Amino acid sequence: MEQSSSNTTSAPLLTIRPSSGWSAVNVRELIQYRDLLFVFALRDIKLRYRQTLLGPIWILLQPLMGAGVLSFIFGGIAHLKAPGTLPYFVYCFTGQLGFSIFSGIVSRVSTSLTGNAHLVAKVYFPRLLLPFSTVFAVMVDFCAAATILPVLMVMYHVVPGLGILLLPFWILLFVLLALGVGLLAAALMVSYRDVSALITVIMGFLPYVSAVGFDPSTLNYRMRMLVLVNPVAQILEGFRWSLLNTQMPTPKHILFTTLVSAGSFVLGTLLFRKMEKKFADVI
Amino acid sequence: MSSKDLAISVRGLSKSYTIVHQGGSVDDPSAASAADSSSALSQIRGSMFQRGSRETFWALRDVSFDVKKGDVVGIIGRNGAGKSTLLKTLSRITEPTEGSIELYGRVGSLLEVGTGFHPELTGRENIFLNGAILGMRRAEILAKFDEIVEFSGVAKFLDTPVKRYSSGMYVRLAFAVAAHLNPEILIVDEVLAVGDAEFQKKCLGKMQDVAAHGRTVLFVSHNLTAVTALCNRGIFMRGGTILCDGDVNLAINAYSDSFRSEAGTRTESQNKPYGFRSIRLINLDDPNEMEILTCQTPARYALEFKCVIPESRSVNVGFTLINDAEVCVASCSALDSVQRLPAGPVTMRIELPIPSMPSGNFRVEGAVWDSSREYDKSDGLLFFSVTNTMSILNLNGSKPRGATLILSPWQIETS
Repeated sequence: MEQSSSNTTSAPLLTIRPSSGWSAVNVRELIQYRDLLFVFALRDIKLRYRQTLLGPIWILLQPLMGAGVLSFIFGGIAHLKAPGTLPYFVYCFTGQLGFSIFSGIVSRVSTSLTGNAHLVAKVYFPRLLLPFSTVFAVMVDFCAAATILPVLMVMYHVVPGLGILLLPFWILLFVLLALGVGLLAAALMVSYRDVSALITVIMGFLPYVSAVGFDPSTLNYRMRMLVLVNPVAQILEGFRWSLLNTQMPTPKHILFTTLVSAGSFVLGTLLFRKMEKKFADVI
Repeated sequence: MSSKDLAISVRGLSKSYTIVHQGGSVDDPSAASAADSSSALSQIRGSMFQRGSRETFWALRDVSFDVKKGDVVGIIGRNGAGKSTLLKTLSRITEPTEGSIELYGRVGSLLEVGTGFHPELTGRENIFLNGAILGMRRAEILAKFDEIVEFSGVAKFLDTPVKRYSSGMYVRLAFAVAAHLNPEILIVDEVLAVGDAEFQKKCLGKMQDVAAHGRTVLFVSHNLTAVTALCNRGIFMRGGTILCDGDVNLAINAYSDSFRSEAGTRTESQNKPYGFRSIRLINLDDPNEMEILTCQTPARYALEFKCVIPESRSVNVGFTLINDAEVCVASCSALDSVQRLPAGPVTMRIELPIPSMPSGNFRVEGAVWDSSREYDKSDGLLFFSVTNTMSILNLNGSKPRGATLILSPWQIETS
């Protein structure tokens, strides 16, 4: 209750008018509504494993099983090698871990509006809160799954280098890139539910063109280029370098991924803001 | 009025929607079913390129009004009059197309009870979730938590997921949260439609409290009794515009009159392939007399519907009698007494229980529907008055109350 009832001034507290075109993000309002952001985040985290038998154990099981499948296909059947002397399973697990930040945010953000259609149609709050709040749940999952990594590293005698200091940077790039893509998808999904199917298809093949389960340098030149123009693969390379001390990324590589991630975030947010006026009417 | 006392100022507010008409007629069931089964392709094409004409529909058209601080305003009107759209623009859920709204105070809007309640979460968790969604800060909710729990009366089940609540408990908890929202301007949409009589009373009481504390309330309802009891000002809307704005009784009269003025033969539905064509009240004994029913003589009156019935096994025609206070007095449908309705144009008659109807104004709502769709619906088919002097209760001057009269004589024995 910041706005006390002592509204004796003649200026209105709020004026509502039709807006047009692009509008910037109202940061002050987002801060004002921060409680709701955490409430949404907490709701998502709480609901995640309610009425499940194994509960939060799934957070650990999912990436372990995913990495198991990848290392079986690429390491076991295709006989690919991890860089240096790295055990294939650790290599896959790290890739899976990093990729899960991107895929988790994109899939949760993209359904954050349609999944809460009821709220969007009945209550006002800054619409950006819904997609932003999903990041928390993904990060909780990530942090929990990441606790397996030190165990694996000790088991397999893998030592990270100084690159580990840049780990938060790569995580941030993943979050920004994913938010940008997810926000655009979420806004489009309000009118076109087809986007949901499209996201599923893309998320199905993206791990393969992002080299989640194999070392991109084992590919031939043309395939490698195809993988390396993909920013997800690029950030993943940096992420793996931070943890496993693989090939160090070049400054050009760092600049490219930073620009693409920041650009994705800004563009996604602006497009979302432009489309959000119609959300309540069409959802 | 100085701007100091203003709570809301609305100027030239309009809101338009674009509606797309599909190529085929929506009202033609044979065309609809053909599209369902045989030509899925044409449907895909239709949805991709949005075939058909676009039309701009104005849900609100040039609405202007001011609300003073402490005013309790009832907004009345039929379905589709623009009431909910008005509340939605006032609560910032949707943006106006034209015009402006100035709000002089924190707005809390309650467009339904329990928005955002999650069935898997416990009562306690939902209080925080729902409170935050309605715009309360965490500290506020914490401060009022005990009060909310006490008001709701579900303290025992606070740590049970609300999906295991009875619907009554669910609504009570949801309303308890909403009732402790303390905005300077409260916007309420038809929340009285849910819950039992006791809950509705509690609801009204709480709103009276809010009004008594000098807060501004905007209240949409079809319950005219509640509007009269609660509001000091009424706004009657129709077709997206304000037709009457002033004393609450004035607005309610205008609302009732709107049904009277267009009773009788329906012309606007002639373009529908099925449904009502005309409705009239006939005196079964004297077919020339109609409209005002004076039951001094035991005349028998019937409603006569002329309709076109679609070819469907489950098609039904029904009507509801609504009195002045917007209370449903009776309802009746054809399949109550007939096995099946013949397709094509028909004339249907049903005798009304006029002798047991108290004096007053009534309107007839009607619909033609089957298990899958609604062919025609109107909430103002016919308006008529009953002046009932038949009632034995009237003889000693006491006016009967209630929606129906009890005509049977008393049996009294000394014991």
